[in-house]
Formats: sequence, structure tokens, C-alpha cells
Amino acid sequence: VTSQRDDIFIVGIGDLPFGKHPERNSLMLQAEAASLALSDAGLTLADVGGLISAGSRVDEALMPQATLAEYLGVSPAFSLAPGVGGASHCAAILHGALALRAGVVDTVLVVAGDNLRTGLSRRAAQASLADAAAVHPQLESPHGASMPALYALIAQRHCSVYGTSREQLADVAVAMRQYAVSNPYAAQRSPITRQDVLNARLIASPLGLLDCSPVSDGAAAFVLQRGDRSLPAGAVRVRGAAMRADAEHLSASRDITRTAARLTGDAVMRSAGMQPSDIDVLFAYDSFTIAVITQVEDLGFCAKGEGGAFVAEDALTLTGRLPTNTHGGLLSHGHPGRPGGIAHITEAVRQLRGSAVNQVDGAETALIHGAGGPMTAHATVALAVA
Amino acid sequence: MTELGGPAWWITDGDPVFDVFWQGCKDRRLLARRCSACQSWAPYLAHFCPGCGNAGLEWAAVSGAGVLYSFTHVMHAPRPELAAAVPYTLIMVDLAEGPRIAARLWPAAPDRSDLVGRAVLVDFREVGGGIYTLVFRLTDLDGAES
Repeated sequence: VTSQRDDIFIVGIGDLPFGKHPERNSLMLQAEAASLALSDAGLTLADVGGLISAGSRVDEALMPQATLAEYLGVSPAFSLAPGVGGASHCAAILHGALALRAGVVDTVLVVAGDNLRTGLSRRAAQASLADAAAVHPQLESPHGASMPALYALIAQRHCSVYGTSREQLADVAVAMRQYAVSNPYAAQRSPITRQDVLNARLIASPLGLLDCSPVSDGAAAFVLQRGDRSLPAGAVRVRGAAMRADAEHLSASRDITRTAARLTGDAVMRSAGMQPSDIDVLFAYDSFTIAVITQVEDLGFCAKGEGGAFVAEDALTLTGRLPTNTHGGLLSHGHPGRPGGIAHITEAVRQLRGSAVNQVDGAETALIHGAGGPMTAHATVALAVA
Repeated sequence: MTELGGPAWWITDGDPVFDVFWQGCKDRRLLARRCSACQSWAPYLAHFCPGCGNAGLEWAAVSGAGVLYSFTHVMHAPRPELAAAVPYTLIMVDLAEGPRIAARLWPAAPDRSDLVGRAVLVDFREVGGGIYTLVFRLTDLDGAES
């Protein structure tokens, strides 16, 4: 691998299976994933200069990155909790790259893990999501808004304005499940059909149960280094990273079907010198099926309003036009809360190493998007083979 | 508990800005944020006027008329206190003056899928315990009879 000092690489990844981990708490999950990622990079805890942690919904901490540092027994010279919800895994790469390029640290460990499935009772997990700060306590929550209902408002607007159908939404869920069926690390592995998605009970119209990602336990981690370090064989290059967090609440958005992913996607494509047609595999933030449809539009894979048709049938599968979330995504690999899409990053690295369970032939580029809150905070990352 | 599902979880008091808004509901006046300098209407969540940059946003009454921007029929209660309230129709409304606000459609219309773009008018209902909230009603009565 030839590299300049300021080039940034992901040099190690670690994953625990998503699903249920009743015997582990959130910090134990995070530590195990961290250990796997360091070992994959050929590093040890002594090499951890910087530490980024998404924290835990189950074990809320004032300073989640410091809580993890004390549990790992490390003393990072740079640490932070990104604080942008489901955009955190991508924002962590931007923050980490800045610290590495500034020379503050030589290695940054990014960790996310939580046990939302078994650590909180089902009802408490539901209430926790209903009370999520991103649902405004004065303007939204009093009317019975919840995170699924806010995404449902986005979905309904998309359906009413652009003619997007429940069938097109369902096809997103089916594609994610198709990948998960063959991925032993995924939480939901029973095959489903479009009809299963349509027949599932409605949560908030037009979204049914299978349009929503399942609460899970899980953890993943990865390690960032600068190009002047000796890089291991599995290193993957960061080609660009951008974030935009200019709103938390859906009520603050003028057009809820057009998100700041347009800005982050464009910024990343420009810094990487790439176009959407150059992307071999996409990792969209699929907390709900509608999110994938708006993201393929906002990231430039199709025009606004054409996302439904773009994802329909088998478009997102290995044989489709744009393989997406090849591990099964949040919708079927699972959603442990704070960690959001960190497994999107580790799977993207496997794709570029050629070692994914659902391998895209010859994948050389991956685009990863994260969306926090009701798609109000955004971060995008482009990765490529080293 | 009423069919609105409250007020056990309805803890909105104690915010010095929004207390005025909820008192407005009790007085049957829908309030929005307006610039004291240029008189532009501003979003509910803003400190500075988007028009002139002035920090002097104040509460002022709006007409209560608007257009339904989006909706969802909530079938699964996000919290136990709302179990008796489902199904309910959560909507976002673009007020005639410009700001957007969320509320319930009253009465709920869980069989309707043609609500976007409909004219609505604000109304006020008691949640319980002397607390009032805003709801919107369809003003196109023919459309409401499906």
C-alpha cells in the first residue's frame, strides 16, 4: 500500500453477533468488540491514542467515552462521543481523521455497543425510544409522536407527493432480510416475502412492523490510522467524510422528504473525486424502510421522488443495480440503539477486503450514510480499497 | 384518562417559553412566534428571526387555518398511557401564516389516505386536569364524510 501521511485508513474491525446477549452488559459488549478490532489490526490496548464511543442507552453516562476508557484501562489523549445519534458511526470517521491529521494521536479506536434488547425490558425500550430527545417534548411528544410515527410522517409525505407505494417500501425490508438469512451475525434470519411485510401489523401508517428495525443487543468497533504508519494487509482507505447536523426535530424541517444527506453526499463525492455511479456497494441508514428510499435520492443515485422505483423488486440485492447493506442492515442485522450503523462500517470494510458473507464481486468502493434522529442529522463516508 | 391519552404523561409545564403557548390553548388561541421588529412569522424552534436576524421573537395569535402537510395513523401506542387513544391520526400542518406545527387530527380518520393538502382549522380540547391541547379539524366537510 502506498500512502501519504494525511491519508486515513481503517486498519482493523471487530464485530459481535447482533441479537440477544443476556449475559453481557453494554460495556462488556463494547470491550469485546474493541478487543477484536485491535487484534484484527495487529494492535493492543497500549496503542489506543484516541477513543470515540457512541455510549449506551441502557447505561446512560455523563461522559460515555470516559466510562469506556476507564473500563478498558486506557488514557486517550483524544476522546469524544459524537452525539449525532445514527450519524455517529460516520461522524466518528470525520472526527478521528481530523485528530489523526492534526497529529494529536496516531491511532483512534471507535467503539459502539449496547444491550437495548435484553438490558431494558421491551416496554421500557419502547418508552425510551418514545422519549428520545429527538421527539420534541412541547411540539411533538404531547400529540403522541414517537420515532416510528415521525418516520411515518416522512413516509406518508413521500407516498402522497411522489406516489411511493407500500410495496416499494416492503421491497427494502425483503432485500435486507435476504442478506441476513445467510449472515450468522444477523439478528433476524427467517426469510420474508413482500406479502409478509404488507401483512405485518401496522405500527404507524404506512409503516408496518417489518418496516421498522428490530431492537437488538450488539457491538462493533474499528480502528483508524494515518498513512505514515505501517499498514496491515486488510487496510481500507477513507476517501471522504462529511457531516451536517443543523436540526434535531422533524418539526424544524421545511421539506421532510429532502434531507441534508444531499449536502454530505455531495461533499464526500467531491472530495473523493467520485460519482454515485462509481459506488459498488451502498450502506444506507435503514432504521425504517423509508429512510433507504430518501437516501438513494438524496445521495444522488436517482432523482427526488424516484427512490421508490429505484429500490423496487430486487434492486438492492446482490444481483440488483445497487447492492445495499449486505450484512442485513438495521432492518434485519439489528439495531442496538446507540451503536446505530457501526456494523455498516465493519461490513463495508469486509466488502472491500473481499471477505464478506454476501460478497459483491470485485467491490472497490463503498458509500456509507448515517442519519440521526428522524433523519435530521447526517454524516456520509466513502471508503475504497487501499 | 381521556381519548387523547393524558394527562398522566403530559408533562409540558415548567418551560418558561412554552407555558405561554399552552395557556393560549386554554384560552382557545393558537400562538406562534413572530418577530417584534419586522413582523415576520418564525418557526416555533428559533431564537433569531429568519427574515431580519432580530432576536426579539414573541408569541402572537394566528388564524388557526392551515393545510395538512403529512399524517400517520398511529395503530400501536408508543407508551402504555396511549393504549386507549389508538388508533389516532398524528398530523403536521402548515399554518396559513407560514409556521409548521404537529397535532392530532380530530376526529381521527384511520381509514383516510387522501389527507395531504386538505384544509384544516384549529380547535382546542381538554386533555384532563384543566390542561388543553390543540387539534385540527378538516374544514372540507364533504371530504370528511368518506
